[in-house]
Order: sequence, then C-alpha cells, then structure tokens
Amino acid sequence: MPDDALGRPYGVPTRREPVVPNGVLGMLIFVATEVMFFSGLISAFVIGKSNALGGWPPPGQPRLPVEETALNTAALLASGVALYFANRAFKRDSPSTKRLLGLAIGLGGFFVLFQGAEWVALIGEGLTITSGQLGGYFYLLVGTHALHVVAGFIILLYTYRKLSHHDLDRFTFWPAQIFWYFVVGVWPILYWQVYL
Amino acid sequence: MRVWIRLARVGVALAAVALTWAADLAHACPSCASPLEENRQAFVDTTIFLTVVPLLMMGGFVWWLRRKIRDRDEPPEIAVPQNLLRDAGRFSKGP
Amino acid sequence: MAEAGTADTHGADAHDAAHGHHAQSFLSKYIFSTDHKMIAMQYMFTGIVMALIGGYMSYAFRMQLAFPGESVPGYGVVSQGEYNSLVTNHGTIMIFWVAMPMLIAAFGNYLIPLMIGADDMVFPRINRLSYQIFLISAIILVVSFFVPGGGFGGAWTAYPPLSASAEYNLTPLGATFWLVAVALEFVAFLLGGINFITTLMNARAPGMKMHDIPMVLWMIVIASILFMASVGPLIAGAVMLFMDQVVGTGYFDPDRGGDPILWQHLFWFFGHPEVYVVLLPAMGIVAEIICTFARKKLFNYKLILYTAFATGIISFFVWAHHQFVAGIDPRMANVFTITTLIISVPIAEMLFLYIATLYGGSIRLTTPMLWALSFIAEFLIGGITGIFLGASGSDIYFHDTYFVLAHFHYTFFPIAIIGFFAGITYWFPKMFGRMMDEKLGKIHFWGTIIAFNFIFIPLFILGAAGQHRRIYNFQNFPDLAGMQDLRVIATSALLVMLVFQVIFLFNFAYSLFKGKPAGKNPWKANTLEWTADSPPPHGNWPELPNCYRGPYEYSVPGREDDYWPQDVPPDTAPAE
Repeated sequence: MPDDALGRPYGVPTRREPVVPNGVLGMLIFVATEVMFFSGLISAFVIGKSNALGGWPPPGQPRLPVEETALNTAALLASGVALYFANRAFKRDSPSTKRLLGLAIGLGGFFVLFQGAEWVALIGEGLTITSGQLGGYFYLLVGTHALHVVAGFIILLYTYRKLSHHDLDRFTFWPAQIFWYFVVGVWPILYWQVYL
Repeated sequence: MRVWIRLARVGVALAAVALTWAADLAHACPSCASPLEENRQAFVDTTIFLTVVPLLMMGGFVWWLRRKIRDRDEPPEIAVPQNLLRDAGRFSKGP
Repeated sequence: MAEAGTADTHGADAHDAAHGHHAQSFLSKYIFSTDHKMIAMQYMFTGIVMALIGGYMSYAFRMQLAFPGESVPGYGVVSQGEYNSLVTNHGTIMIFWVAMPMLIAAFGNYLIPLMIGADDMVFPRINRLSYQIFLISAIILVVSFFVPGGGFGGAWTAYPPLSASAEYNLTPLGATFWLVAVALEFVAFLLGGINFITTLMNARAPGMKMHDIPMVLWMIVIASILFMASVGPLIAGAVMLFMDQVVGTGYFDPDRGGDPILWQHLFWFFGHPEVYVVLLPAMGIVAEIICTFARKKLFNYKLILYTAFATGIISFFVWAHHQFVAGIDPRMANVFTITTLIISVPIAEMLFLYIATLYGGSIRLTTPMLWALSFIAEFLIGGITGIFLGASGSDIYFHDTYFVLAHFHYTFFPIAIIGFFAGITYWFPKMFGRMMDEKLGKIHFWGTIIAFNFIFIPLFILGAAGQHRRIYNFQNFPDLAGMQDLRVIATSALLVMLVFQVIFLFNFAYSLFKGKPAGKNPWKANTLEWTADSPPPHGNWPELPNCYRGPYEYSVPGREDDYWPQDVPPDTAPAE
C-alpha cells in the first residue's frame, strides 16, 4: 500500500473515541476562563492594596473574621474531599455515592449560609461595599466567589437528583465535579489574599 | 563546539534582556514617579502573574492531553465499539 | 453552567431528532435555529448591519473634521458630545461587533463543522445561546444612542476616571449601557469559543489528523484559545467599572484610594491578544484562498501552524506597550519594547510563507484572490508602521496621534474588512449556492482598496506632523489648523469608499437570487466543505465524509486533475 505525503498508510479510517469527552472539555475551557477571571480580580486587589497610604488593612475599618472563616474554609475543603470520594464510590457503583454526594452538597450549603451570616455581621459593623477600598474589594472578591459557590451548589443538586433517578452518567458527573473542584480550589487563595 | 557557540549566543541575548531591567526613571517622564514603590512593584508582579497563568494553564493542558493520548491502549485507527460511538457525543450519527 | 456540562448528553439526543427532513416553522428555522449554518448567517448579517452603522458614524465625524461646524448631509450638525460618542462607538462597533462576529463567529460557525466533516457543532444549544446574547448586546449598544445624555463618549478604551464617573463623561446611562453591551458580547464569544475548540478537537471526520485540518480552522481555534485565556481579567475590570458607575464604589477613583491605571492594566491584558484574535482568522482565510487560486500546496504547513502558536504565546507578553506614556515602570517598558518587536517576527514569517506559496503557482486573479493578495500588501504596511509605535522611545512622540490611528486602521481594515470580503466572495457559492458577479466584484475591490489608501496615507502624514487623535475641531488649534487639505482628501476618499460599498451590497443581493448556480465545487478546491451540496442541507451530508489526506494537495504530479479532494479514497489515484 502506498503512503501519502504525511507518511500515513492508506486505509479506510474509522471514527475515534475523543480523548476528552465533549462535556469535560467544554467545562475545562470554561473553568480556564474562570481562572483568568479570578486572576484578574486578585491582581486588581493586589494593586488596590498597594495603593493604600495608611497600610493594609486600612486603619479605622472593621477587621475581617479570620478564625471563623478558617473554619468555613475547612468546611469547603472537606466538601471537595467528600465529592472526590463520592466519585470513587460512583465508579464502583457503590451505594455510599449518594451519602457522600449529599455530604459534599451539605458542606457547600453550610459554607454559603455561614458566609451570609458573616456578611450580615460585617455590614452591622459598618463595612459596606461603598465604605472604602477594603469593603469594596472584600465584597467584590468574596461575593463573586459566593456566586460561583451557589452555581456549583445548584449543579451538584442537579447531579444528586439524577443520581436518585438512577440516570447519572459520568459525562454529567465529571464536568460537575470539575466545576466544584475549581470553586473549592480558588477559595484558599482568596482566603490567603483577602483575610490573612 | 557548535553547541557552545549557540549557548553563548543565547547567553548574550539573555544578558541583553536582563540589562533592560537596569533602566530607571527617566527625568523627562513626569508621570513615572509614583510615590509608592509598593504600587510600582505590584504592577510588575501582577503583570508577571497574569502573563504566566494562562501560559501555564495551556501548557498544563497540552501536557495532560499528550499523556492521555499516549496512555490510550488502543491505536487510534481501529473500529470503535457501538457503545463508545454513542458516548462520543454530538457528532456521531449513532448506530 | 449546568448547560455546559450536560448539553453533550441531553442536547445531543434532542438535536439528533431534529435532523430528520421534517418541515420547520419560520421561527425554528430562522430565529431559534440550532443549525450552525443558520447561526453563522445570523452572525454575519448582524455584523453587516453593525458595519453599516459603524461606517455611517465614520462618515459623520470625518465630515465634521473636514468641514468643521457645517451641517453634515444625512446627519445634521455634529456637536462636541456627539462627536465623542460617534468616535467611541465607531471603534467599539468595528472591533467588537464587526471584526469579531464576522471573522470568528460567522466563519467559525460556518466552516468548522463543514471543513471537519461533522453535521453540527458539539453544543448546538450553547451555540444558539451565544448568538442570542450577542444580539441582545448589539441591541443594547444601539439603544445607548437614544437614552438621555446620549451614547458613551469616553473612547473605546474607556479609561477611568472619565468612564467611571458621570460627572466627567456626562453620559450616565450611555456609559453603563456601553459597558453592559461589551460585557455581554464577551460572554457570547466565550460560549462560542468553548464550542469551537471542543468541536475541532472531538468531532473531526474519521481519518482527519492534526495536520489534515485546514489552516483557517487552526487559526480560528488558536484565536478562540487566545480569547478565552485573555478575556477573564477584562470581565473582572468591567465588573469593577460597572460597580463604580452604578453602585458608587471607588476602585478606579484616585480620590478614594483607587487606581485608574489598574483599568488599563486589565483592559490591555485582553486588548492586545484581541488584535491577534481577529488577525489569525483573517490570516487563515487568506491561506485557504491563495492555495486554491495558486493551485499550490500551502508552503510549509507545519511551520505556519507553529508560527501561529508562537504568535499566540508571544501575544501575552506585549500588551503593556499600550501604556508607555501611562506612567508604567520603565523597566517594564523596556521589556515590553523588546517583546513587541519580537512579535513582528512570526507575523512577517507567515507573510513570507504565503508569498512562498504564491511563488511559481498558476495564479488565477479572481475576486477572492485579489482580496487575499491585497490583505498581504496592506497588512504589511500596518505591521511595519507598528515598529515605530512598539519602540517605547518613539512611541512617546507618536502616542495618541493620527499616526497611531492610521497604523491600526492599516491593521484592522485588512483584518476585518478585507478579510471578510475575501472570505465572503470565496465561500458565497457554498453559502448560497450561487456565484457572485466577478465584474462587479472587481470594480468593488479596486474602488475600495484605492480609496482606503487615500484615506489613511494622509492621516499618517498628519500624525507624523503631530496631529492629536481626540480633537473635535482642528481650526481651534493654530499649530494644527493648516494641512486642512489632507483632511479633506481623507474625507473625500472615505465618501468614495462608502459609495463603492453600495456596489457590494447590490452584488450580494443580486447574486443571492439571480447569480449563476454554483454547483458543489466551483473553485475546484480540496477541503471537505466543497463536497457538500451548495447550500448544504440541515445535517450537511447524507452520509458524513471520511478524510484521506491533507487539505492542500493541489497540482500533485501524476494526477489528471490538479486538485485532490480530501474525501476521495486513494484507490482512484493513478498507479505510480
């Protein structure tokens, strides 16, 4: 059989399995864009911080609750770990998938509620989005992340419902996990930058 | 021997690039003198950060993809089972 | 977001069912279609309408510059505020609502499935959503002209504090509408980009390997990757600017501890890769056309591909050259000067490779070929004048003069307008099943190209003489009041160019209904889209094609035909 210019043997080609499934690839690209979005926000925050004449955090402003949020951070990280084990159970078709997925969702919900309570307390202390650079950047960064947590929470609820109806496949579960890992993974960076 | 000449050339190029870092404020540039050194440094840092992140992501993705392609046990040009064809996504006409 | 994760399983089934040959209602066929060809048409016609609006704006403000204070026929007297918003929105529209939708979205949507032998995009419903968001953004932008206070007038780069505070820009609603429109437009292209990259990676015809993909698709996908990787910081900046305008925060307000330079930082991080986002698809379209009409293989396919990748990577290192006079660290200015000069190397290399492709070919000077050749010539001028602006020393003199303006029009005009005309005259037979009129096409070509050079060469001269960009009436400045002749020449040439566009529109409409039927492959080209019917039906092929070879096997020795379509099995080749 002759070869063509690129050295490929002739033959009747057949359709191949994609290396990365469509949904996963699409979600990966989307998450890459989100990473850049958060990189932009963090860069803006770093520059905003460097402009503060009286040092950072600005004097006379309420302090951010570092310890309480450390607990909350741990809850979110635990949620990511629970999702990881849920996936392992899902691959084995184990009945514990549902429990672990429920745990991950529950911890995610706890994170959102806890943060909401924290915001109410901070607003009570006089830290609002227009009260200065600290408030502005705090609500911008943490609020944007909170929106993503809520979106991820809804996606996980959707997979949970599908799991209950026994029609969850890995082409739905995998992208949902990628998004949740992103939400979990970006939080420690925000915590380190904003709170510490 | 050739390699050394080539390396020397690369070294000269890198040294030239490194020299640009020695530039300082031009006296003719009234807006250059930000009172805050931290602010100038923050711009430099975030410039590097923003530039490196997308390249790392793309590089990491290509690396991961190459590894995945290499680890595929089947050669690419064989017939695909019907169940995979369905899973393969939108483009398949299906069985 | 749930959509992105699930459309491949759910959208797939729903859409496959629609591939039968049942009659579709008007709404589902033209408005809510998920067919990639229809979405491409929607993008293209929206782009053409926006181009006409943008062209009309340039007419109004060029008339004001040539004949200051006089009433412009068809517009009226241009006031100072109107002048600012005309200039601002001309730039915004031409880049975000003309170059992006026509080059990436229209040609990307049309060509990617057809050229790789797929029946549609992998996420058809996300594709539809992308267009709908784009349409909403276009409507918001047009509406922003008619809100109280008028359209936004703070230049298309929207530097704060001018853009952040209504006290300064005097367009409280216009500025916010503008910003929302731009942000929505980015979301639309983000969804489109996910689709393009995934489709190219996963839905290729059996047998189509990496190096069998037509160059234009590589270019569109590299452009999409660049877009996806660079748009995030700008969206972040847009959110912050929106908060400054609407909520009353002070991220960019120096009085309240904010930093106006921060916006430039975020804006240009996207803004410069954006140039390559629109350049690369145009380069790809030109590559297809010169191969077809020179009847030659693309000279060094792999080198062009790697050069495009290199361009993409380097384009992340050049963006701060827009801020040489904004007070950035001089150390950074030095580094960015070097990288900016370096990026001209891969682009020049690509142009050389195209010229090498032409060398020794049997060239047919059809209308698309003329556009492709003029792209190379005109873009070269744009590229060379960029060298002066990339060097931080000379940029301090040239910054914000008409030299800059003429420079980027010499890049963007070839990209957006010449690239579009090249593509549309080349693929028109495939899109609508009829040939365009060659004679009218050539008249349109020569008129447009000659007039274009007459517009911008005078502006180079004016800019080198120190004429500043954002001035309403040069008669108020004794140093600049002279040389009015050059401004009148530029404006007259613009009028001529706009008149020649009528020929194109006529040709387009006439050929749509009365053109010569084209048949499947009027140009005798190799790529897979020419094996489908013209226009391709829903689902593109009765049976999806296979791919057996690279896309540029022209004039292969020993073959009777001088072309060798990608889908022809090799056993039809003569024995060697």
